[in-house]
Amino acid sequence: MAGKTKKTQDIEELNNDPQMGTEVSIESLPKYKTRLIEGNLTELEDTFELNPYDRVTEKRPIIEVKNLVKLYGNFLAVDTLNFFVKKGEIFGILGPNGAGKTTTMEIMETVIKKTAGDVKIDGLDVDAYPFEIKKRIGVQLQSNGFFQELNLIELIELYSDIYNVDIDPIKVLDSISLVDKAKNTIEQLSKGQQQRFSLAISIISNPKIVFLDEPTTGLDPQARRVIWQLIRELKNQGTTIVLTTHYMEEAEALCDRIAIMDSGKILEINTVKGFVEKLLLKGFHREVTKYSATLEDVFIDLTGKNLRD
Amino acid sequence: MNNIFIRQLKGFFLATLKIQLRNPVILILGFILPIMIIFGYSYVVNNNFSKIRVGYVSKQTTHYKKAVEYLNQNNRTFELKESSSELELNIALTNDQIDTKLWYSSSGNPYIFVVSKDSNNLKNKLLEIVLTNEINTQLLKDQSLDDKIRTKVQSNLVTTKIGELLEPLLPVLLSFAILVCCVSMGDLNIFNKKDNIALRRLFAAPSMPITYLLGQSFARVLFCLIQIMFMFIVMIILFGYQPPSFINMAQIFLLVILVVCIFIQQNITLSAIIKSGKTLTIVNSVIIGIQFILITGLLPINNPTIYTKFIMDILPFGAFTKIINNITSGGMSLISWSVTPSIIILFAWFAFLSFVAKKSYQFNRD
Repeated sequence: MAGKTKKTQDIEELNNDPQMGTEVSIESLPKYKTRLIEGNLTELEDTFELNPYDRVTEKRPIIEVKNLVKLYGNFLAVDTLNFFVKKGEIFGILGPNGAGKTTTMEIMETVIKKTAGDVKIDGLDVDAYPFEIKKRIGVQLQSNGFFQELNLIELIELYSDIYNVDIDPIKVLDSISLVDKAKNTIEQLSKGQQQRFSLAISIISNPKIVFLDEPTTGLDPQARRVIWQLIRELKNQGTTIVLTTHYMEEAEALCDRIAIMDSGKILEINTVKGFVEKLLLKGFHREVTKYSATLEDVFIDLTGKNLRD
Repeated sequence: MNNIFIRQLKGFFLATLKIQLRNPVILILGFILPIMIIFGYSYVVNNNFSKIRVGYVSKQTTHYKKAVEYLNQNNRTFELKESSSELELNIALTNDQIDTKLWYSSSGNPYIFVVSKDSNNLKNKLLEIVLTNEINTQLLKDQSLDDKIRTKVQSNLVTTKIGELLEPLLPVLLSFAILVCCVSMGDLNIFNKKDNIALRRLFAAPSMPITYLLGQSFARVLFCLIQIMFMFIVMIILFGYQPPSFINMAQIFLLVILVVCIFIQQNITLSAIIKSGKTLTIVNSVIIGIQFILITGLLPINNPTIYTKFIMDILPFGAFTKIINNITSGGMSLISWSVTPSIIILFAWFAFLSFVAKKSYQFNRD
């Protein structure tokens, strides 16, 4: 190793690293990636060994996942995942049903136990400090998961007790435009209202990290845009967000980086721009006229931005 | 205990209480059905009054014959024995299977006390009260009655108010309150929500499992006690029931709390084995329900074998009923020797189920 340059070592490591989340060789990397690796790799060597794609721009990750494995009996739900999430970014996990997105999320949320690997949330190991981690995270689920018999104010009071925070339920409801539904139960809300409420509960303790599991599934475009806006506001306040979604345009609109999963594995982690550039480098070409607006933009323009519920 | 724990406990407690109070099924079972049971029982008591009128008894009277007929119809074998004693004539039991004894004492003015050996059985208890009441009421009309006997008879006199006759119903009503409390647990307990998204949300929150369990348990126990108090109020206001002065409500409440805790531990233990919430609810309800049926005498077991009787006695509801019977009609307290074995049985159940629950249940999901 003595005669090798740092760059050569880096490239060798990159090609041989078994923890890599992708099997793409260094030659296929865009030029700017290679330059970044060359310039910044050493910064992270003492902090965390991760996918070399991500090391290059990372400082201290708030979420660190190494060699994560989850088995359900003989079924391998999560297969040696490696990734990290930077503080303050929106990290998206995409994948078809059964890809292992929710399982990965649940392990990070300390809801289920991993089979193998290391997962650290805000520097804390999920096995050693689940209670501490739970204080620092907020969780929004695909379904609402609230007691059906309690009204919105009572639910906020319950969760403010659980998280030991003093909060005015009306202010919380006002922030998501649900004051007039204060006495309603969760079942009496529309899907969009439920998701807004669920998001509000997930940030009731002002968490450092928020996990959003398909936050806009089943919502109309107006409701989806409102949720997007709430998520962006969270990011602007410095909250780290991990979200799963089936909507590519949602990931494109919100996520700083995206991990694409299938069959329990991460196929690749990249920025939206990185994904597209890499695909184009392969010679991909779509023979479709590209407009500067989408059909959803047209829909919003015609029907208005106002929420319908 | 720190402030967070107390606050979370309060949160879970209030939430569970509100959920229970807003559940129409629980409200119907907990408050409406017991009243219906009381009314139904009162009807039966009235009906029995009209059917069995023993009156002033001598062996030649029709009323006496009706009592004997009743015993015959209920397969109670007995034989008439004249006592050589001045005050007593036994219609003694010929063997251990017989659970009703009729005896009368008089100096020329015969009267009968009907004493059921097995006062757990509602029918026997009813018969005992009705017959004793009728006989003694008639007897007191006899001006020539010896003063000593008169005092004794008066002490045994039961008024004809329905409320007075509700006493044997107490163990059943108390058990029913516990039944409702513990069966409804199946729908609400976090441990039953393995297949429910609510579990994930609560798991992801920074609260200890024990906090949720305690908050829920406190709410359930309180709800159960509210039900019991409601029953007493109904019995007192609507039926003129006057609880005997020796009944210690605090002791009854303590006993109820212990039994509810036993069934909570049972629920947790079952949760460790049964993963489906619906199946768990069914199994839990069946186990508690069977015990309830056994203590109410609704099963068609006229002469339970010694083994059946033993099983009934060592089950939580059986032991509970035995203690309640002693407290409500026998004037015993929880520290009486006669109830000690049953108390030990209840504590043994609690300790055993707590141990198994702790060993078997994994709060974290796999």
